[in-house]
Amino acid sequence: MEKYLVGEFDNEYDLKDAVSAIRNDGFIIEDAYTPYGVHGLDNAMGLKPSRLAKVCFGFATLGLTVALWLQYLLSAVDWPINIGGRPWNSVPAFMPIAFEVTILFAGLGTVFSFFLWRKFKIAKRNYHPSFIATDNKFFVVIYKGEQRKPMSSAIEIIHQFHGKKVEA
Amino acid sequence: MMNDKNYTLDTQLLNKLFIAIAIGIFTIILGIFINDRIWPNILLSAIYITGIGFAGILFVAIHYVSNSGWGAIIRRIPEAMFSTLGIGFLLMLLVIFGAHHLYEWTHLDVVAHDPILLGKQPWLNIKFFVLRIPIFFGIWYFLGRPIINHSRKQDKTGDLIHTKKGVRWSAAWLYLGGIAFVISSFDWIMSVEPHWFSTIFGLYNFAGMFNAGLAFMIIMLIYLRRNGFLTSIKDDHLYELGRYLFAFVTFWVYIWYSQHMLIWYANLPEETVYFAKRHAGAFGLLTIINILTNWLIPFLILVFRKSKRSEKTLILASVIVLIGHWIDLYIMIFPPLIGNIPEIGLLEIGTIIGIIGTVSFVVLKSLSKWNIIPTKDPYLEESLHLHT
Repeated sequence: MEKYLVGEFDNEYDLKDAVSAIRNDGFIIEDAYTPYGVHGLDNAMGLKPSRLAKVCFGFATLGLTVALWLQYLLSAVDWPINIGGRPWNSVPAFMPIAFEVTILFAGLGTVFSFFLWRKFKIAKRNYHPSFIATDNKFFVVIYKGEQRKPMSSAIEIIHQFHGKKVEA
Repeated sequence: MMNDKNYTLDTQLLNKLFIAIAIGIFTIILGIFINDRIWPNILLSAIYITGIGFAGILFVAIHYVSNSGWGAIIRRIPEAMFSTLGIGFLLMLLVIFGAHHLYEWTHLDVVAHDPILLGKQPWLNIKFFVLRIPIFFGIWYFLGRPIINHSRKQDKTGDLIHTKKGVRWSAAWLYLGGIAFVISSFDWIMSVEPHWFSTIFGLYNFAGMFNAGLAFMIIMLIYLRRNGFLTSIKDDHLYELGRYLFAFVTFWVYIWYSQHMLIWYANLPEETVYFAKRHAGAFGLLTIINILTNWLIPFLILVFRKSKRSEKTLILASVIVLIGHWIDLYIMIFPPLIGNIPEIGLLEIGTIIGIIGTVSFVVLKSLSKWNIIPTKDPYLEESLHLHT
C-alpha cells in the first residue's frame, strides 16, 4: 500500500498519545484499528460527532407522521368502522402502531443511510492494515497525501511512542 | 487527584432551610385544626419524601449489582438521599391518624353495606394497614443500611470485601424492596379509591418516583459542583445522569399510556371511573400538564446531546420533572377526596416548601458527615476517567 503509512503499537495509551501527536503535526489520520473500543480515541483523532443522529430523528418524525396519517385515512376517512362505539379518529388506539412504525422507519432509515453514506457494497474489499488488529495490536493509518512535513517525521513520532512502522 | 473537600453546611443556607421546614410544620399543625384537606397533603408529602430516599438507595443498589464503574464518584449523593426515608416514615405514621379522612375503607358502616369493600376487608383494614407501614420501611431501611455502612467502612479500610457484601445486600434489597414498593403504592395511593384497581399501578408509581429521585440527584450534583465541593465531577457524569433521566421520563409515559390505553380500550365501568374523574374539566387540564411536565418537555429538552452536558438545561429539565412528580401524585390522590375542582391553596404551597426544606436539609446534613467521595472504592479510578 503506497497510499498509507501504518504504525503498530502495543497498548492503547501509546496509540492515543501518538495519534494526537501525529495529528498536531499536521498529518491526516485515515483511521485507527484497535481490538476493542478505546475511550478517548475519538477525541484524539478529532472525529466529529456522527451526523446519523439527525438522520435518525428525521426518519423517526417521518415514520410518526406517516403512521398517524395512514391510520387516520384508513379508519376515519376511507373505511370508517364502528368499534365499540368509539369515535372514528381514536388517537389512543393509533398510538401503538404509530410507535412501532416510528421505530421501524428510524431503524431502517438510519442503517440504509449509513450504507449509502459509506458507499457500502456487497462483497466490497475494504482496506485493512493487518488482522492482528482484531487480536492484540493497535494500529494507526496515516494518509500519505498533502502533508506539510516529510513522512519521516511521522515515523519519528511513531518510534517516540514505542511503536513501529509496518508494511501493510 | 483527590482535592475534593468534604461538604459543610453554611449557616446562611441552614437558616433558609430551617425557615422552610418551620413553614412546613406550621402548615401541617394549622391544617390539622382548620382544614381536612391537609391529610391528602400530608400523604402526598410522605410519599414524595419516601420516594426520594427510595430512589437514592435504589440507584446505589443498581450500581452495585450491575458492577458499574462510572457511578462510584457520585455515590455519596444517593447514599445521603437514603436518610429521607426516616422523615417519610414519620409522616406516614402521622397519616394513620388521618386515615379516616383519606380512606373510604376505614368507614366500617360503609364497608358493611358494600360487598366489594367487604371482600377486600381482609387486606384493607386499619390494623393490617398500620402493621404494613413499619414492614415496608423496615425492609427498605434494614436491608439498605448495610449497603451504606459497608460503603463507609471501605473509606477507612479499603477492603474489597465491603464491595462484595454491598453487592449481596443490594441484590436482596432490589428484590424485596421492589415488591414492598409495589404493595406500598397499592396501599397508600390506590386504596384512596378502594373500588378501583390497576395491576400496573405500582410500576407506574415506580417510574414517577425514580424520575423525581434522578432529577433531585442531578440538582444536588450541580449544586455541589458549583460550590466547589465535588470538583472531580466531569460533564460526562452529568451526561450519564441526563441519559438516565431521559430514559426514565420516556419509561414513565410508556407506563402511563399502557395503563390508560388498556382501560380506555376495555371500557369497563369499574375501571373507566378513574379516568372519567381525571380527564374531565379542570383535572383534565391538570392531566395534560402532568404529561407535559413529566414527559414531553423534559423529553424535548434532553433529546439533544448538548443539553445533557450543560448545567442550565439539566437543571431546567430536573426542576420540571420534580414539579411534574408532585402534580402526578396530586392527580392520583386528590380527585376522590376534594371533588371535581382541584384546589391548590396555601396548604399545598406550605407543604411543598416544607418538602423542599426537609429533603434538602436531611440530605445535605447526611452528606456533611462523611467523605464526599468513596475514597477507597475499587471503581473510583474508573469513575474518574469516565468518557462518553
